[in-house]
Amino acid sequence: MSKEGPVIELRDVWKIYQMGEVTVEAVRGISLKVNHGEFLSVMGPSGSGKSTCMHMIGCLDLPTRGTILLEGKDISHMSESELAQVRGRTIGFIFQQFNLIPTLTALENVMLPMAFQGIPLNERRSKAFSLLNLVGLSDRMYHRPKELSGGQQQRVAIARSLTNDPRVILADEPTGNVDSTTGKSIMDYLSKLNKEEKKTIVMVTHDPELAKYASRVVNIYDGKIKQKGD
Amino acid sequence: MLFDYFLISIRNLTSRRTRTVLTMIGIFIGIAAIVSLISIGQGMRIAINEQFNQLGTDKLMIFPGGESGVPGGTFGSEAKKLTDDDMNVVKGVSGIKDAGGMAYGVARLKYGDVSKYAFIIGLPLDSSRKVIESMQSLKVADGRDLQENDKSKMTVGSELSKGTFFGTPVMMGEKIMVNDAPYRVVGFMEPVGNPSDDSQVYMPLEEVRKLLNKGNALDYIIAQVVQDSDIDQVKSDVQKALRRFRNVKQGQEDFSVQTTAQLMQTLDVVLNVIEIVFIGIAAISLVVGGIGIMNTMYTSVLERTTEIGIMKAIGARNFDITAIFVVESGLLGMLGGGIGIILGIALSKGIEYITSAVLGVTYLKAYFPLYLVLGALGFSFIVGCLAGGLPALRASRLNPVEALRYE
Repeated sequence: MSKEGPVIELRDVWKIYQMGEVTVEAVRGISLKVNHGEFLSVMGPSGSGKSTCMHMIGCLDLPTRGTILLEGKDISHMSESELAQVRGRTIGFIFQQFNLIPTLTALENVMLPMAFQGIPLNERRSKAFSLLNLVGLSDRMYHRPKELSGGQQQRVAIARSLTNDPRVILADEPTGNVDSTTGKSIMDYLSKLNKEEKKTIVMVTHDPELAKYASRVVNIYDGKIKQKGD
Repeated sequence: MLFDYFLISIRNLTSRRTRTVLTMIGIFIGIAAIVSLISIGQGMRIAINEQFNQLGTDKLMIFPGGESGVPGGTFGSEAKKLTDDDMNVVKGVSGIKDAGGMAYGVARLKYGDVSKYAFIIGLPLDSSRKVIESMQSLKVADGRDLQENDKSKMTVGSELSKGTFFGTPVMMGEKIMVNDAPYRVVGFMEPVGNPSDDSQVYMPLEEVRKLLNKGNALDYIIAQVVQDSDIDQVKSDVQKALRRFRNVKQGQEDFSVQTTAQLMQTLDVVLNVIEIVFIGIAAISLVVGGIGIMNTMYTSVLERTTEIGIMKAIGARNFDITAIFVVESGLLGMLGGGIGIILGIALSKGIEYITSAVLGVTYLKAYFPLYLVLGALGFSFIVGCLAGGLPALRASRLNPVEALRYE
């Protein structure tokens, strides 16, 4: 796949919800390019449509109108299972709530996305080992999420997001549930991934402090991109 | 991938132990019932087959009355009785080696001051006795068997010699009054295995006929065919000869002739029907158990909505989600089935013990073939999978964004 051009491109994307009698236009004609290797921060207050926008960037949701291109390929009309496969291969998610599977150990959580891609067990295991080593959790591999601190859980989530060697990492308020020191180390790590591993990072936040790590900031208000950057 | 479906399912089941166990109860009651019923049924079948094999496949049984199918089911009128003459006709058919007849009925037995009713069996004492004995598997445990020219003599079943019948054991050489006539006990029989058979007394055929006013009637004729002859052909020849002798048309016979194979088939059909009815009843409880699993799985889908959203976000296809939930409910069924099998084995062993220790029936042995165990395990897995199907579909159709937002 070419490293030229955007990884993800939104072209005049609309998301309209019908809630009973009321029609809600959550995203109103957003066009946005996420370029290879950039650290993009999507900012906006709650209810601005930034989450909906992020879901579409992450191929979790399809637009009501408009086109989404993932590495030049239109995904707007893909079936949910096709979308799941594309998602699993190309995008790594980091959530505010960590979102680990509570019944699985750290190691198993990291191995899971590879399972959905049909990667053999041995390969999965060795890759999960090395990723957990990388985030400094080699002594916590066999612990369940509830036995880990918030920071540790988020590091497991980061390791999990990297398993399928995705081109894009999508972080939704990644430091929202950890203390400031842990938050800083997580941001430093994301920065490092962006600079050293050349990972494209899209981070959704409402915290201007975090936005400082980004190479580009996009502000969303009322379902539209407000200013510059595009 | 299959490994992961199992891993996720097992982790989930073990993290909600109480619910898992409660859900399984529904399944294991059903499976326990089915396993114990089948094992007892199979055991019974084997016991019956053994009995038939013992008496061999070269015998014809002739009963009075039409096709009743059950030996001794004699409700025919006087005119329909079999007699010595019929037996002689049978003996005269080519292909018949020998034939013997017996008579039996209920009589009042009195020993000391105790009077009770029991079956008295009249056995022929001539050469045809061998044919009868091969059928009845009668063996003398103590004393002697009835002999030719014996009169006023009897051998008694083990219930009488043990003392369970009269309350006091019958002593060798003492007299028992049968319908007020005295008979001396010359032998004790070996137990057959069930208390009603073991409460019978055996006497010379003529004595029984006299006591019960049977004249020259026989309740039952057994004929042995010549070795290597076509038993079905001999059977039809016997029917033909008896029809001619008794002057009845084909299709209106007042007697029936059966081979041991036929009798075995008839019993097999009866056993099958009984088994199917019982298993049908047990299956109802299995359906209820399946609904229990379904309920648990719906709850589980609701509780794990966020988890489903996460899995979809990190690349799970709808199929993966469906599989995870179906495997989980299948495992729930199979675990329940496993416990049910153990419980069922214990139950039928218990029944076996009770029937032999309390009721004295020793030939009822529970039988556990491998196919029963594996079949029950597989069946409970399938019940689980089916029950989990709808909840799993619901889970797989969840929108990932809404699932992630769910709280």
